[in-house]
Amino acid sequence: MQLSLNWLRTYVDLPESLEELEALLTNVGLEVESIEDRRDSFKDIVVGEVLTCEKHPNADKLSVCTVSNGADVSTVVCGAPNVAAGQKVIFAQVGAHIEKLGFTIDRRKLRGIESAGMICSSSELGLDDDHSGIAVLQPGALPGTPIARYLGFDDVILGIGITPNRGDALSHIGTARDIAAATAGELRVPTPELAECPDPEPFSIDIRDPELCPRYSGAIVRDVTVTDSPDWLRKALTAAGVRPINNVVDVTNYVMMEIGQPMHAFDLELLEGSSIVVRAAEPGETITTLDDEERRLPERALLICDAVKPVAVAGVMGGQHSAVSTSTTSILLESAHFNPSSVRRTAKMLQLSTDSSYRFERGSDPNVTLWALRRAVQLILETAGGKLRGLYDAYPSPVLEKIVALRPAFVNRILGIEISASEQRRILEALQVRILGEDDAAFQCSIPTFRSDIEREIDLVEEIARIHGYDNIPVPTRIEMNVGTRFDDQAFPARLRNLVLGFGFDEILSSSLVSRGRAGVSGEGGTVVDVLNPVSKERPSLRTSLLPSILEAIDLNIRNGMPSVRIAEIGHVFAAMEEKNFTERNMLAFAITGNAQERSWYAPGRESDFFDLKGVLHQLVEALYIDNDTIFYYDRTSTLSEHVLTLEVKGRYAGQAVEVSDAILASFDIGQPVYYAELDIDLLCEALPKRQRYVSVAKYPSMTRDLAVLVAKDILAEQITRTVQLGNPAYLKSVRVVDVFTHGSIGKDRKSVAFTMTFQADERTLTDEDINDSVDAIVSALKRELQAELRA
Amino acid sequence: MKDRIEGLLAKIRESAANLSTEEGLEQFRIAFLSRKGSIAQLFEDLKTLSADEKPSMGKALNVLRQTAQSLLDEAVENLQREKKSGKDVLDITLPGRAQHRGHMHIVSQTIEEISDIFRRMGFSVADGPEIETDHYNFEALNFPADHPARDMQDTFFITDSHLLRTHTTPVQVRLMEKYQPPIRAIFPGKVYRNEVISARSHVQFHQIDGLFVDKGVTFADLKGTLVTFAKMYYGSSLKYRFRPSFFPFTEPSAEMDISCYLCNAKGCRVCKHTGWLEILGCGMVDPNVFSFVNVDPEEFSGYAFGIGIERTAMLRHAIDDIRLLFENDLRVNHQFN
Ligand SMILES: [Zn+2]
Repeated sequence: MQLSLNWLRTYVDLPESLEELEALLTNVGLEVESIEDRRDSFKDIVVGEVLTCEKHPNADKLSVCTVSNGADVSTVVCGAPNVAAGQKVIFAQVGAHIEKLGFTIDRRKLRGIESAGMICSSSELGLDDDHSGIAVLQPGALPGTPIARYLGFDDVILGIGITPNRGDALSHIGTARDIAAATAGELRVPTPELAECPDPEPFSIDIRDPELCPRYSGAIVRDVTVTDSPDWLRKALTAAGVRPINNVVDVTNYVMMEIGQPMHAFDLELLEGSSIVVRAAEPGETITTLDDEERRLPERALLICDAVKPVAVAGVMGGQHSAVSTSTTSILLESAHFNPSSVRRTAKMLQLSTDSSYRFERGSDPNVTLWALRRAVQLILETAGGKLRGLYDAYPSPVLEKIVALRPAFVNRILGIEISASEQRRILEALQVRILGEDDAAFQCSIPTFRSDIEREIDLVEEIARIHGYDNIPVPTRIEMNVGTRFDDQAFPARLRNLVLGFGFDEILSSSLVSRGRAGVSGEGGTVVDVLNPVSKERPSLRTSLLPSILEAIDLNIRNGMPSVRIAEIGHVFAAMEEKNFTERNMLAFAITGNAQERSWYAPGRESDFFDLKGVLHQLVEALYIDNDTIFYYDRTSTLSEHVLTLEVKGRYAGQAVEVSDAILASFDIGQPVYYAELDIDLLCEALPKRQRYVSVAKYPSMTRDLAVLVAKDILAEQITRTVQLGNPAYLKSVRVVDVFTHGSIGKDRKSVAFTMTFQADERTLTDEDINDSVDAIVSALKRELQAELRA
Repeated sequence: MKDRIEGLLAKIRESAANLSTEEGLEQFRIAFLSRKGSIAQLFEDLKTLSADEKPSMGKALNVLRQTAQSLLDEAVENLQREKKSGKDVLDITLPGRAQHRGHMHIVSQTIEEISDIFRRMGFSVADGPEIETDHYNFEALNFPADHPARDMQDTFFITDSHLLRTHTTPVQVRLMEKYQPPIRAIFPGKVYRNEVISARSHVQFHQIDGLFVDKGVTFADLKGTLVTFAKMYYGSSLKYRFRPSFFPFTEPSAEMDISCYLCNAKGCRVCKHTGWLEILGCGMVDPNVFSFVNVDPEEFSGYAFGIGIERTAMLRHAIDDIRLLFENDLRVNHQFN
């Protein structure tokens, strides 16, 4: 909201300095977002009067004028086609700086005649884009008046951020009320001066839906002359950020900016019949609004109608047909109170927000409509002439002040300070809350109807706190903590992240919204969830897996010249199981692509492969004290790849590690292998052992034995190591594959696998004889189970 | 015999001192340690000695053999080391062997840093779903239907009753439903707003919300906790202020500003020439919120607060475009941590 300091000052005494005013407003909750001090603008530019105007003797397109500034007369050469004697003009005197043109006015000769100043167009002052000629001011403008004052620029414009609960502050008087309360100053609200109307014209107001329109007040004024507003009115509106239109419309806007009551003026001659009907729209009804748009009205939208047709959308915008124009001579003024939710629904559906709807949505005062009406009539009679022909007020069930009990002790209990009951009373009364009585240590407070936001005791606590000043509530020197109230602290995702960072992965964070086509890549169960109202049609869907995000990041970094990356992301993935039943899982994903080892002085480069990924995964699981053997499976399938390592926790899918298929990579424009793993964080958390027990370290040395076997090519390493462990051979502690190779010399359907086994006993040092039996048993198991052949 | 052993030892030491080539090493081995070398020869001669001389001389010969062997090993090792470095001198200016080091995302860093401060003040960390219901996101937080307060948060809808949460505040409702007071928790997480993506706004960002509900919690306690947080995070010399604001779920509501650390409160573009930076919103839990979760506002009171993570991180690190945070250009990510 934009406020004029000069205007504000007419209702309340303001602090000396702008800084003090800014602090005061911000501290009571009316945040000052901007201050524009216009008082120094347009120095040395004044209203001038063109006394004479003759053709330049040496130039066809130039004129030589004498211009008065009220005291002296200067000769000015002017190039504008529309300059003429007798005009009041914007006169930039010698020394004036024209900011827009970037120069300072100086005496200079133009085709032989010295010019001492410049007659300006409004565009040269940056006021508008009118380049057609010099600006011609109103005939009554007084020569010598600083143009800043003439234009209303001798003012300070305050930009105030009003929170949605403070509809009462959306006006100069509304803001002045808070200033008066905070400074214990006097609030000067003018009383509209209006002669009575002894013989009102017959006119009826019929409210069909009093819930949506509790009150409708109107006035008829005849014989008005619609024209431009006087300067004071134009200045006031311009300073408040409202564009002047004509004297009648300007007065309605002025009253709105003064007290906060939105008003509307109809051309009475264009209304049919002698009545106003307030009713809900019927299906399919349309109206052409002031902005010249034909609008289909939403059902239940509240309409203002004459005897036959809708003439305005209540509280939002008037109709084009009955708009006030320069040919208007009779008007109907509307000053009503509409239900906030109804106005909001209608404005939202029409996608139309006006100064009027903005105020009604935030709650206007039902008991100010007549004040506003009288004030407007008074100002119209002053500025447009005419005669009051009737005041009408339909108010079926008057809105009364709410009574709210406030316990001073409760205020102190919530705020944590001691504000005396008498000080609390002073603050409430300064806010125009009336204290009706005091009982049971509580004030019975009558809440003025302009404060529709105050309904409960706690709302009054806030009023007292903000006028007392939040900064006057002391900061305690110690903070108390509770013992024994910690609950499932979410430390695990951060622990996982730190582990993954330790393995050299850069953490990324991506948008959860992805394209429809990519959202479904790799999701486990369920269907893709779309948002109904996406910002971007390209990205309407919630990801079902982190894979699309990871691949998009890889693609971007490859294009940026970084083909070798290790990245990880933690984030939620989403799926719909059935209607309105959504699953959401917190996942960790990490991926490797490009070189695992860059070429260097000590080693050649090496491309990453699946086992870089698998190594990390195993270390990660081990770092969590989870037994790798219990959660990995090799016999699953995946949509991502034919090679997949699956994680299961308690029989449920908990993640996978894959080499992403070429088809998926191609759809992301990636031309190099990507190794990708994802883990369900919550499931992994369930697999965590409660605590880690110490196991005494072996006292006796271990022995190793290496074996190499020839097996069929399709036998997996895992099958060999499991077969070695079959039947728990004595003293066997571990087995590890150390070499795999194929060669024509061993037959093209076979491969050689070498592994090393470690044997150890807890009670003594082993000898060769001790383990020979075990090795024999292992060899025969391999022969039996896998048709393995022992290599020499 | 003893003299011969000592003589040979001297000779071995002398030869070993000059071993610098592979040929030299091989010659040394053949001369002293091979089957036909000098030491083997002495062992051969040992057999001719008397029975009382044999043990001591045998022992001395063994020592001699071990000495020769270890001198040889040492020379081999030296030679290998020289070969590896390519020079006689170790060039320590060569780059070290590359190690992988991961960078934490700046948003995560900020969340961790802030969470850490609140953990030290006794707050636990909780979380909640990102697909929320209208009930948790708005209704139970005292946003009436058709109220302009809903305009403060443009919403992505999933169904007529489900949406992407617009703040992390719904977690406070879930916590109060599940646990009896006292509750002292923070809840960081991702939130969504239906806004056009630009340098200043994005469809997603992160927040940390906090809640403390117990008997006798006051606005002064709220100030104490948040001032402590701000001093720990921004530095103890900062100036701060609390000013009235509006959130449907708190009453009284406030916003906390700190003196602009970018311009020393002199006024700059970032603080819009006010000298103040808004860092968080807060207030006392509204009794209407308590009534949704059956907490008696006559018995309990509480405070709540919310901090925007991206804004905090961007101010701190002079990042001028929020889109940089979610593009995952590693040239950006690598600049932090
Ligand atoms: Zn600043």
